[in-house]
Order: sequence, then C-alpha cells, then structure tokens
Amino acid sequence: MQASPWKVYGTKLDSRLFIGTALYPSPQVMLDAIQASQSQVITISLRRQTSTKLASGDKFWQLIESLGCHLLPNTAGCYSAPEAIKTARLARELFETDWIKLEVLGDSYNLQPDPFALVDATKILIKEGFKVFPYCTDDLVLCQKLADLGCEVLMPWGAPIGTGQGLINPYALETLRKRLPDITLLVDAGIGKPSDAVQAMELGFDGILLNTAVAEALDPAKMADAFAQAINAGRLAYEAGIMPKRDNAKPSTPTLDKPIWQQYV
Amino acid sequence: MSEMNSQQINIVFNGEALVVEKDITVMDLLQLLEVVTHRFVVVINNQIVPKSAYEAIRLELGDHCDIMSPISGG
Repeated sequence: MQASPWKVYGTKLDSRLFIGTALYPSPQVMLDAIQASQSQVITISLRRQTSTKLASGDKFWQLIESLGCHLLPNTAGCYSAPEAIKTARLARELFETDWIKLEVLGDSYNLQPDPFALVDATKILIKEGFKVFPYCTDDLVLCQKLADLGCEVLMPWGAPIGTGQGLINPYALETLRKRLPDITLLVDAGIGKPSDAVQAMELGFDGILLNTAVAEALDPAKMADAFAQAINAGRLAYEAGIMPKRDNAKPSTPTLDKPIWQQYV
Repeated sequence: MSEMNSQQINIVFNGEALVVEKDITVMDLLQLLEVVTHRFVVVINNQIVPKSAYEAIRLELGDHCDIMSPISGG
C-alpha cells in the first residue's frame, strides 16, 4: 500500500523522499540510487567553474535531466544572508525554478543554520517570489517566524549534516508538528538509517531529505530502496493512527470463559 | 606569455587573468571558450547577464566574468 500523495508548494508528489546528488562513488551509482529511491525531488547546487571543468558540469547536467525529477537547488556553503540571496538568484536563473533550499550556516563545526541570517534571507527571497525551503534548526520560535514570513515548507535538522545521528531531539520535532499543523515539515540532515526516517514519519513529518545515508552506504541503490520503503511505512503508520502508550499491561486475548475456569471454582 | 597589443584588454575570467580582444561580446567569449552548448549562467561584476544580452554586452578592461554551472548537492 502506498501512503497518500501530498503537495509541496502546489506540486503534487507521490514520493515523500527528497534525495541529494552528492557524495556518490560514481555518476552511475548516483543514477541507480536515485531511481531506486523513487524520489521525485532531487537537490542540486552550483559553483563557479573553470573552463576545463565545464565539460564535466555538462555531463552531470545531462544525467540530472535524464532523471526527470523536480530540482531543488541549494545555497550550501553560504554563511551570510547576502551570500545566500545571491546564490538563490543565480540558482533560479540556472535551473529555471523558484524553489530554493535555503541554507545559511552559522557555525563551521556543526554546520548549524544561523537563525537570524536565515530569517533575513527568507524575508527578501519570499518578496522576490521564491518558494523557500529553509534548512533550519528545530527551534519552535524560529520555525514560527519562518512560517509567518510565508514559508509553506520547513526543513528542520534531525542532527548536524552528514553525522547520521538520527533524531537528536524528537521532543522538539514533535512539538513542531503539533504547533505548526498546517506547515509541510521535512526532516533535513542527520538521518543515518531507515529507522530514523520511520521515527520522523511516525511523528507526522511529511517527508525526509537525505543524501549521505544513501550515498555512503556500501550499496547505495539498495539503501535508497530501504529508505523508500521505510518512509512509506512510517507515513502509513501515521495515517493509520498509532495507539497511545500505556503504563499498565492490557491483555490482547479475551479473559472471559477461559477453558481453565474450573480450577478457580 | 604573448605580449598584449592595443587591440586587447585584460579581464578576469573565473578568477583567472585572461587577455581578450577589445570590444569582445559575451557571446564571442563563450564561443572562444567553447561553452555555448553548456548549461550555465554568466555573471559580470556580480550581475547576472540575461541570455538575451549575450550579443549586446561587450567586456571592458578589468571586468570580472564568471560562469556558474550545475554541480551535485545535498
């Protein structure tokens, strides 16, 4: 059974997995993994090229085009609002999309987003018509401000980028889900294994964005398939309604008219 | 390194010095560097150059011209 389709900034999607295009051991492995993931949205970036590297950039682009996915360009590596805004404008021109994964980093050790610069950049980009997908921390007040600015999608981290530590603060993520019921929420960064993704989906998150967990697996295509199944299972469980936890045991088999009643008479 | 003549100018292309013909257009430069078939964005002095202006805009002495291309990203 497939979980229900969803919409991201008005675009209908079946897959709830966004996947990155970096860190794969080869272009073919990347293609195989993305196809196995069934993702319909892939992240991509841009850089200044040297003339000798233009040809390789073109080959990469041809591979990306062959996938037929929606593109979500990022502003990776930006440490200020002006840098991120400039990169977003370039990305819109290059990839012909208003979607932007807005990354404004505040710390080079854990690649933590800078919440203040993120808000500053979001304000300007939304005014310019961008559909902003902010990579943010799980801070409720920050997320509320981003939503108030017009972000329909928020992408809080589960853990720092590339660490594979899973959901470090499930309480904060669950709080975001409860307090921002109308916002599309994806966990972006920190997912290490499929059970991390299941946990986020069972909390009611709408999707997952990941890269390293698939690209650095021994068999990226197989891991991509595992994530696709896990994310679907987690979403199905959320839609089905998870039973509440109880402190006391409750038998699942009826206790009346047991065949051994006589010994108690 | 060959010497410049009066019909040439210095520009900075993707961070490196480059000598080109005076009055060279963006389109001429792209053809010279054989990048016309690639997906890219041209930026001159931090301003995005629309594709429609490639034939009209001429590079001037000291211009910084950068070409941005797709790369993988997470």
